[in-house]
Parts: sequence; C-alpha cells; structure tokens
Amino acid sequence: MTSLVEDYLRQLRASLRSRPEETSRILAEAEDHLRESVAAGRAAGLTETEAAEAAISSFGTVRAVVRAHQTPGSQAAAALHGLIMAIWLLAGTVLTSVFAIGLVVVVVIAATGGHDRRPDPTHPSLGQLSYFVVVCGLLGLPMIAAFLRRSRSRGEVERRAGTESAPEHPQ
Amino acid sequence: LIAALRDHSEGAFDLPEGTVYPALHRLEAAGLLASDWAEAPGRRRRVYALTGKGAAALTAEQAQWRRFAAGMRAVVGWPA
Repeated sequence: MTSLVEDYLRQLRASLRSRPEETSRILAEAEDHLRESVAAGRAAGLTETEAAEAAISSFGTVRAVVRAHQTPGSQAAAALHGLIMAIWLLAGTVLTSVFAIGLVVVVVIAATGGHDRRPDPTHPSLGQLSYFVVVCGLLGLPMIAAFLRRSRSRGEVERRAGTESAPEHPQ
Repeated sequence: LIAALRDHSEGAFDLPEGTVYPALHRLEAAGLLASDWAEAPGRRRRVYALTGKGAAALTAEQAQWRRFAAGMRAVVGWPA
C-alpha cells in the first residue's frame, strides 16, 4: 500500500470520534476500498502515486468522511465529553488553587502562632485547616495531571497523523 | 454500488465514495441491511445484503417516492 493511502488512513483514524470497534470497521472498509481503487487505477495505466491520489480524491476528504460518519448521537456524546472535560479542568484548578493558597495560610499561621491567639471555637483549628488543604491538593493535582496527560496523548496522535482537518469537537 | 448510483443517476449522485459507508452502517443499524466479511484472494471485502425488513422497506419507499415524483411532475409540469 502506498504511503499516501497509509497517511490518509492515519489521518482518518486520528479524526474519527467513534467507538473503537466502529473505528476499526470504518478503517478496514476504507483500506479495502482504497486498495481496490488503487489497483484499478494501476490496471488503467496510472502510476502508483497517480492511482493513490485518484483513489483518495474519489473517496473524499478526511473531513467529509468523518462528518458523514457523525450521527446526532455521536455529536451529542462529543459535546458532552467536551463539557465534562471543561468541568473537570475547572474543578481541578479550583482545588489546586485552594491547596496553594491554603498551604501559604497554614504556613503563615503556624509561623506566627496565630492560631494560639484566636481561641474562637467557630474557627477551624490549624489541624483541621491543614487536613482540608491537603485533601484539596490530593484531589486537585491528580485531576490536572490526568487532564494534561490526556490532552498530550491526544495531541501526539494527531501530530503523528499530521492531520489536515482539525478535530471539530472541543477537547 | 457507488458506480451503480453514479451511472443510474446519470452523474447526478456522484458522491464522495467514503460517505456511502456511513449510510450503509445506518441502514444496517436499522436492520434493513446485513453485512459480513467475505474472503477474496488476497483481500477481505465487506458484503452487504438486504434483509427481509430491508426489502419490505425498499418496496414501501419506492411506492412512496413514485407517488411523490408523480405529484411533483403533475405540479411542476402544470402550464402556468
């Protein structure tokens, strides 16, 4: 198979937003179709490159094929996924900010001995405050790390594929 | 299938070939088509066939389309 067709299939794989078993079937059918078109082009006297270009041109752009495979259900799922990721990032950022600010507050209180001069029972003790700050950090930092890891791995797939059509859904 | 669509429509339905597969997938999901991989020398090929429900739906859709086309012809062909 020519590298043009392989590149096309890689771009298609990176751009599809379907379930894994559906994606493998779409790719298998596309590969089968393109192989046959290239063979027909070669039989008609085209060079390998010309036959591959003609086959890909008749098959349609990655963007057109991806759009044709989108159903209202898959579009809604992609939009929901984007919304969940945005909420996840926001929650991670808020928790991490609380952790960072709380850490400074705890250190300042501990250093100045402020908690000793404030015996008000309605205020949390330094121990309670530290516990709250640590819990925020333990939740927020892994959330941001998971978000970054996911964004990076998806970015790498798309960069490797050198995709011509940018994904149409929010990450 | 794609060539037949293009030839029968005298070039009017010259769709990007890759966009026909999603339509086949949707028809299969609706139970109107069934498909399977068939082994051919040196390659695999997905073969689609009408199911009983698909054949019935095709007959019903054809009848509906003929009624619609006849109605359109009657209206559009009406002298102004």
